[in-house]
Amino acid sequence: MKLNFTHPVRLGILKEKPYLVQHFTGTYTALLCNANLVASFGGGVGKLLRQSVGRGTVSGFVIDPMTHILNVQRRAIVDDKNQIKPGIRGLLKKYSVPDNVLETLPLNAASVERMLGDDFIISVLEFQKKSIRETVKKDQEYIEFADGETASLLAFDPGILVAPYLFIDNDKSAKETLEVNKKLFLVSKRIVTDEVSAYLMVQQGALADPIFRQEIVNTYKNLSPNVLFLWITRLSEHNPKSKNFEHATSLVCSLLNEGIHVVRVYGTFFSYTLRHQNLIGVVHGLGYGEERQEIPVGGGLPRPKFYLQNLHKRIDFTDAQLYITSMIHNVDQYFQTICNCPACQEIISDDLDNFAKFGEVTSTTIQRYDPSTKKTKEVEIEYATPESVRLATQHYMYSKFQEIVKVKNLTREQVQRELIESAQHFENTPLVDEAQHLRYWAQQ
Amino acid sequence: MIFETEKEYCDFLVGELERSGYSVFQEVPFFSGLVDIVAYHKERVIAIEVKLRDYKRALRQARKHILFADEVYVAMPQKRAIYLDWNLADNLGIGLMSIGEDVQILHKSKPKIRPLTRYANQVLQHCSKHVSKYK
Repeated sequence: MKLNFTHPVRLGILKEKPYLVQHFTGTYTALLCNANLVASFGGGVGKLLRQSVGRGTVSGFVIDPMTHILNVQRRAIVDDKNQIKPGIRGLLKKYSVPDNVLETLPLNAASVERMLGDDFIISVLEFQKKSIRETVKKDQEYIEFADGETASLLAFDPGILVAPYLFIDNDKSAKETLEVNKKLFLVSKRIVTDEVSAYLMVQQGALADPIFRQEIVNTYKNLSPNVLFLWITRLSEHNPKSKNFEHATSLVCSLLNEGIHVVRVYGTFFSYTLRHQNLIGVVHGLGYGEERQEIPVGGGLPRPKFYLQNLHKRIDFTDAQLYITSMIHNVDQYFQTICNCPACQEIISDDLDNFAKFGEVTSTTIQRYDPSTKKTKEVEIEYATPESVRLATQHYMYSKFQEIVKVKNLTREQVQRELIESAQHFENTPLVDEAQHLRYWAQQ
Repeated sequence: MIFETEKEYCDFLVGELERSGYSVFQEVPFFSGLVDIVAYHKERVIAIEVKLRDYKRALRQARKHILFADEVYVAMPQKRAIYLDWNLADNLGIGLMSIGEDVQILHKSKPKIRPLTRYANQVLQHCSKHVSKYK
């Protein structure tokens, strides 16, 4: 497998492209692209891949086929008028899903098996295999680029194919869905000669049952995929007191103990530390980062946020500013204890007051519901400027890179000690209640 | 005096502050949130978060106000405020007000850091655009 999963990044929207081809070259190693993005904006994704994979700065890419859209709750895939979103519809058309099936979404696991046969599986795999290569081939610009840089079209084959999969919800269908996922994987392996990976997307609550967790482990032990992408939806590793965190950690560790090559889709620094137990990678997105639910949440006005590396958490900018103002006394101390990434070097320069640029805001008027009068009223609210979003995103990406390097260079015991020291440090700061996770992480 | 809603407590507190000579502004934007009350008098800025119950949430909201205000308070109904263990807020220097028959300061606000001019100006600019609803 040519893919390097040291620092994989998920491409969620095409707007993120400039970060990936300009600022972060060399800081990430692989791209996980959403299939609906490839289906709708293949040209843009192809261009990004030409400028990254094609130039050898990134080891390769994987297309998440997102076949969970077949059985995830309908509100995840429809617009305000309850119509299936055009991007989703377009993708499912490419997967040979008939119109009459489209209208009945979501399907249950049994229906997927009954209504969609091998044609569906072949289409899903073919789409991954060919869509980018064909896009690049068609693009005149590629020819100019290829002349200069001798890129091979082979570079535009995904590093690994992902077998179709369904979402395992926290209900009585969980076992049946796992069984269908198993069949989808086995058929995929039979159909193609390429390397095939499995994708397990499971709601955290479904992992409460230890028997089911063991069933998952046994299933993937027997299937032995080259890679198992694992997305535990709704899981917040920053809330480690919850039983869900305990169950999720138990599952991941059991999978790793069986020698399964797990890549976590979304995860925090805690997941990075599992690299010491042979987790092979943790994917994160640029903006939303480290945890997600299965139903996409709308954007809204961007809140200024800042990733505080010693806390291993993205927090409100105001909390970060409060922490910096309380605890950091000069620029040198900032670079030594907070961050010395290129974004921070550029912004802070020689004046700690420049930290405020990470939180620059502008204001607008919005309608907000007032429970006391039971009516909406106009309120003015501040939100992050595009520039402060850009700076905070850059800092976030560099921070994740630095964290990966740190885990690589330290032993498990050293990482644990650092986490405990951080926990002790935050007990005497204004952010004491934001740091509860550190001690728990150290104890795992 | 026993009120039922947060707004009633706010209104009462605003009246008391105005009687004491403060210029008072409500729901003042500060980053992604709104400060319940900003009171200004003799170049001192006071920020107040009013809550009926959840004082931990109030503290989380109020701590941001340290960035722009000289004094920061959480104000709660007297029947709750008097039983609160305010040690949690010591780290932050956030004070506690109780609202009953009158308004009392149970713990004086003593922020550990001075407000930053940048954020004080940011908030006061919003205040200058608003006219207090009670004037």
